Amino acid sequence: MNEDVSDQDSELLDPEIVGAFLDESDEALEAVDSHLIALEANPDEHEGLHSVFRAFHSIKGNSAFFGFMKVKLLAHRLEDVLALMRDGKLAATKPVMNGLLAGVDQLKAMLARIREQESECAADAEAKLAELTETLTSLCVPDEQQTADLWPGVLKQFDELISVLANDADLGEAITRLHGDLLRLAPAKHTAPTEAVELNPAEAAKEKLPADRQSSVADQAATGSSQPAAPTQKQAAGDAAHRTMRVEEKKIDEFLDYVGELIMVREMFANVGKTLRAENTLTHVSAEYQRALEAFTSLSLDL
Amino acid sequence: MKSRILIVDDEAEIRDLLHRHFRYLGYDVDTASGGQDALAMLAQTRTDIVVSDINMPGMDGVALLEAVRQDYPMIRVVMMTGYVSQENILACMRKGAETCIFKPLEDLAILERAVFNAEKVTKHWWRILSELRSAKPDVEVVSQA
Repeated sequence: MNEDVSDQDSELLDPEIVGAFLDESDEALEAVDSHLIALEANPDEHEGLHSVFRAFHSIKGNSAFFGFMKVKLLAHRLEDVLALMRDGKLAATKPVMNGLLAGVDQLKAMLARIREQESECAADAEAKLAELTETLTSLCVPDEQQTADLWPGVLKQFDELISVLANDADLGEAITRLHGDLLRLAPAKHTAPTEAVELNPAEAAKEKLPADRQSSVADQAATGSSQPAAPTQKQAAGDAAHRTMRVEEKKIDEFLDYVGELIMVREMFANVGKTLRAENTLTHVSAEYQRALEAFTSLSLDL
Repeated sequence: MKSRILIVDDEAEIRDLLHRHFRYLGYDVDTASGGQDALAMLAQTRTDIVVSDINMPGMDGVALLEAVRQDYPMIRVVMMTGYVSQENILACMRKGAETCIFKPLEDLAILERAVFNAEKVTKHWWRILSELRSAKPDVEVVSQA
């Protein structure tokens, strides 16, 4: 096969044309480098993504024309990763950036070999190239194992959350429901990721928030019950303009403790959120989660 | 300059016939028995022209045409079909085939001409690429002047 290609090289490929292709590809890869470095410094900076995508795309198409099939394959994998990033389906995390930078270095090395009229890839570097393309391919597929590892941590934090909230029946119940949804979601992730992921957390978040408010309504109706004082206080704050209310000092203390606990819970939520975002496999969940967290935060702050 | 042709047909007889014929005409020829097989060949070897049947089990010729346009946009594709329907022909046009030849291939001259024309397009672009070299310094001179 390699002999065939070199045969063709001598007959078909004008070295000057190939030289021009190499020059322009090198130039494009230099620009790619600087875009990637900018993106690494600031992962939200997506401006360069399109030009990086275009560079990989044209190297992919052109290299096949010149018969550099390994360059083509690698550029194709890099293009796949960039397409996901451009569409917002893959974040510029460290493994992703490392994969891209390693890919660009490898492309440059292969182009340099071609310039020296050697084969695209040294025989002893084939395994390394295969490993690199494999890594880039795996970046494009949500890592099942990573996801599986993620769930126990999330569920454990929810268990803690439930025990913290055990003294508030309504809120506790809402969180238990959310926990149940997540449990259903965990195995579903492996079979039907997108639909399950989009639907359940949204529902769960919706369920949780009204339940939260319901508890304050219920409290309002049953003032002086054994419920914690928090929602009562909230209602009191809301209606302060209209009427006043005597509250036992002990209740105020309980309430402040409760707020303290809420802040802790918020921290736990924030932690779970961070884990979800870092794993990057559950974009919908983490977006829904972020919204739920923001609602929770503003409710806590209102208190 | 030899062009490299990939013949794709699920019928071994046709593959062999075309393989022999185009080799005799001086082309480098590879063969594949279906769409997937063809894509595996294309990933390995630089190819100028694909000649593919449309009706094949598994990945058919139209799907292959589409994949080639997507991944190897510089390869010219000549289609062949024994199952003549307007939809097939329109699909070939829509997806950018050079032409479509009807089977049975009683007169190989028609296919030969199609391949020759496809080759001419590629050669044309090679010529443009080599003219680029002599065109470039002129541009610089003009910009200096």
